[in-house]
Amino acid sequence: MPKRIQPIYILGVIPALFLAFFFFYPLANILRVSFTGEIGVQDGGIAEILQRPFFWRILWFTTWQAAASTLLTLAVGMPLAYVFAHFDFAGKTVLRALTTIPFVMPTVVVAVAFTSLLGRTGLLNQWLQALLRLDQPPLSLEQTIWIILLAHAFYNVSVIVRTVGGFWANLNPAITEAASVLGASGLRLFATVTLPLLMPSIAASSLLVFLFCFTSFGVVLILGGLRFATIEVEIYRQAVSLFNLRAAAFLSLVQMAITFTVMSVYTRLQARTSIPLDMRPRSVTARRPVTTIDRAVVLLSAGFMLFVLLAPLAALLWQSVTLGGQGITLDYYQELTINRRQSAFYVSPLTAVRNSLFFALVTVVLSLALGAISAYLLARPRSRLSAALDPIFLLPLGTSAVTLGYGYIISMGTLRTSIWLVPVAHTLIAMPFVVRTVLPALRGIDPRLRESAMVMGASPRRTWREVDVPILARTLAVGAAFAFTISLGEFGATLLVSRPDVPTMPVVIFRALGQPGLLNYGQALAMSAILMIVSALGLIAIERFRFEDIGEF
Amino acid sequence: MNQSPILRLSGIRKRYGPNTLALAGVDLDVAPGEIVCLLGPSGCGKTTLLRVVAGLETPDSGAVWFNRQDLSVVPVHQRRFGFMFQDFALFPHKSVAENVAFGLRMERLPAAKIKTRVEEMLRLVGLQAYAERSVFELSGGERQRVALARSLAPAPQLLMLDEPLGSLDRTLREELMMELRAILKRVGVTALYVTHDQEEAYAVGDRIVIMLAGDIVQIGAPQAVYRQPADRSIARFLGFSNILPAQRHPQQPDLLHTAIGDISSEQIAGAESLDRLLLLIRPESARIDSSQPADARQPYLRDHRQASHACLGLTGYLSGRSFRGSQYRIALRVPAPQDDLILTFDLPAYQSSGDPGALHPVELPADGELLRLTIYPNLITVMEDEAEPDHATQRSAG
Repeated sequence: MPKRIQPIYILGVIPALFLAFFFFYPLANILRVSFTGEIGVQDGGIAEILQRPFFWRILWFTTWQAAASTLLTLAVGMPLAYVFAHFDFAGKTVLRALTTIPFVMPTVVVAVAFTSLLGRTGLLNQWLQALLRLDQPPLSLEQTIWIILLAHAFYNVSVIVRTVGGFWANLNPAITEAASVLGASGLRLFATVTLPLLMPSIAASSLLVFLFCFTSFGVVLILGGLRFATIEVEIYRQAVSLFNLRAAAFLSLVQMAITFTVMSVYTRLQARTSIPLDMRPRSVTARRPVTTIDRAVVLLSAGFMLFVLLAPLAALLWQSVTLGGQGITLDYYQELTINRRQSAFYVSPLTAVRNSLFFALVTVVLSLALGAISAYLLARPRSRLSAALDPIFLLPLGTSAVTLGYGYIISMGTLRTSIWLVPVAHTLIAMPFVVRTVLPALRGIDPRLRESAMVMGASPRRTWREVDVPILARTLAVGAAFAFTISLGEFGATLLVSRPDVPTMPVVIFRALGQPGLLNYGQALAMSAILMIVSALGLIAIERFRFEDIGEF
Repeated sequence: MNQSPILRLSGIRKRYGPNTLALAGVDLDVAPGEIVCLLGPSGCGKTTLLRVVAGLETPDSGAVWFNRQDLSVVPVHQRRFGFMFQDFALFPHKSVAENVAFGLRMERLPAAKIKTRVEEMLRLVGLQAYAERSVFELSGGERQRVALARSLAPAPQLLMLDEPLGSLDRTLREELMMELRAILKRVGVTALYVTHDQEEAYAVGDRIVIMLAGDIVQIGAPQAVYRQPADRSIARFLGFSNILPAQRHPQQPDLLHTAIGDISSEQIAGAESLDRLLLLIRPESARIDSSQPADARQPYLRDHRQASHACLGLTGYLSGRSFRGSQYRIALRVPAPQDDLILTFDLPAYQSSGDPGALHPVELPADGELLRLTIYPNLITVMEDEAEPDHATQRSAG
């Protein structure tokens, strides 16, 4: 049979071009501007930036807050991971599904939720004040490092619980049994056997958490106020508020260098966690809690987890209907439909909901199409091209949203004012997630399934329709839900590239938070609550499709 | 072959990379309705051959003819063959009935016809009640039956089975071997059956094709292959380890000389015309000889008359035993001038000892003690002693 070019290589040009134009080109521009750029007002050279103490202060703060957040996350996450891995209890499935909440909750929503729980006028302060009959709210966490660390921990405990817990649950119990037969017990057993086995997975997930916190934007910007700035926040300030393009470009460059380094270490570590360690299905390793201590541990952990996951969100909902102390009211929701300022740049907040949904749908379509093609390209076994493309297609994962948005500002020319730039940016951020969801499923399809379809008379196209499509449908649904929620909640890039007259929900929330007065704050709460609910719907879709996976077949 | 072949393979060659020759120019004819078992160790190219016939692999050279049509231009999905994969490759997203119906749907049969055919096939494999089940709910044996029903449903002109019992446990395999052959014969389909298990090949096949290192080395009926392996490497593959080189005595032409004793040539059928030969002593050819005490001063292997029949006597030291229920497998160390020989035998666990009305448990001496056996010469096979054919380069490609 004559050899011809596989159609996937022709289709593969599309995502490659997309990445080239909307990812590598802006990145190259950042590189150019930071070294040779002449735009900018009060720029000095790189040498001057390096001499300024503010640069080192920001780098130091970004690093230590990320490290502290990671440690706090580990301290909270590891015991929970243990409980999840070793016990079977009622509601475990639901609880595990709930751990997806932080993955899909927009940073803006989480930030607002944290202020509504822990802020000056937050629920906790209100209750403590009433309970202890105080004149002043006892907790002043707002605009402190503590509320930032807590929000980061909220975000990332699930990462530890899910990855370390999953790894732990699949460890063959015979290994620790063998060790205890050989005389190890208690702490010694943990330190000499369990911990070394878990170490690659702990290290990998810690790095991931560190990376998330290192590039944290929304949480620090909203909860930290003007006192705190990560590199990511500083890029935004330099670019938008101070119009210091060169400083912004240089900061982006520094951040990228660090994140790519961490990413490559992470990838290497992750490859180690996939060493076949004689894994066992969970059901074998998990047991029902029997002793009183077991029960207490499980009850406390599950309760704590439930509280941590749901309390901020519940506080947000509650505050959004009670703010102002006039009892339950829907005023703030009704206010969303009214355009009070009558200005061209200030649309009625509810149109932001429409914008967000529209952008999210476009993102879903774009990222599914591009992601699926990319996954097919990358899934080709023994292909040198696929091996070379693999890291390139995952690179956008390591690039921060603000950097990307900033790159668009300086590279897109007339496209810069196009409303389509928002879904393009969202697609770039969502696409790696789609690829990562689809790729394992695609690689997992037994090639013999396709072969048997062909032997039974299915043409190549028919084989694809009968075998690939139905098997991948669920995974694509998960990818779509991810893309949808990512787009809804995306804040960093959107803040930079969205047109003022076509804002998304997170942008409107951020604006409202920046305005004085109860009404604006109430509107921010109401809008956050709506965003939270829509994101929760996305989460339900993800969990629905994800659970019955067919990976084992 | 008295019928003209329906499938003809001529000169099929397939190479994977410069160092792995998967098929070294294979020729084979298959008659309509015949079940041919391709038997060989893993890596011998049998699966590759099957995939070439199915059209899943393209040979480097050679042709596959089916019904006098050259298949090299016919893509896999237009060959109308059936293929059963080792781990069955059932579609996980389809029910049992949908799996079986797949090939029928590809033929665009009307729905009603598909329905009756699926029912018919499920009845054939005894799974009528399972039509709506998900394939996840099936046991290994049930999956195997579904896979069979699925590959037979479109009434393929040729069915290929690649280690179809390979992933099942031993008991189930034994049971399904016979059933599989019965179903294939009832349907009357021409079948190519790949396996590495000789018992499976004997039980299922009309003809056995032994493949070693990418080449067909022997073809024959199961009994013929078992009784007369063509050379030493085939004998080794079939599990025979008692292979004893022998030469005709230069002075006494009626005597065969071996390292452990001389025996008369006329006892051994097939030895007449050969000067150098190999004696394949089957493990089942021996019985314990308790007629007289074992004596190490006699030659270890010698002529021996038992009740007016010509037999061979073999003496050696019992060096190992394992009890297998109905028999013992023993290892017998027979001292020889250079290296001692270790011969293995299967001895029935019960033996008649003069009393025709009863079988008595066999008593074996302690390990290291002398044991005297009678060997029945008609169970010794003679092979030509030639330089061992070069099947040595085993490959990894299945």
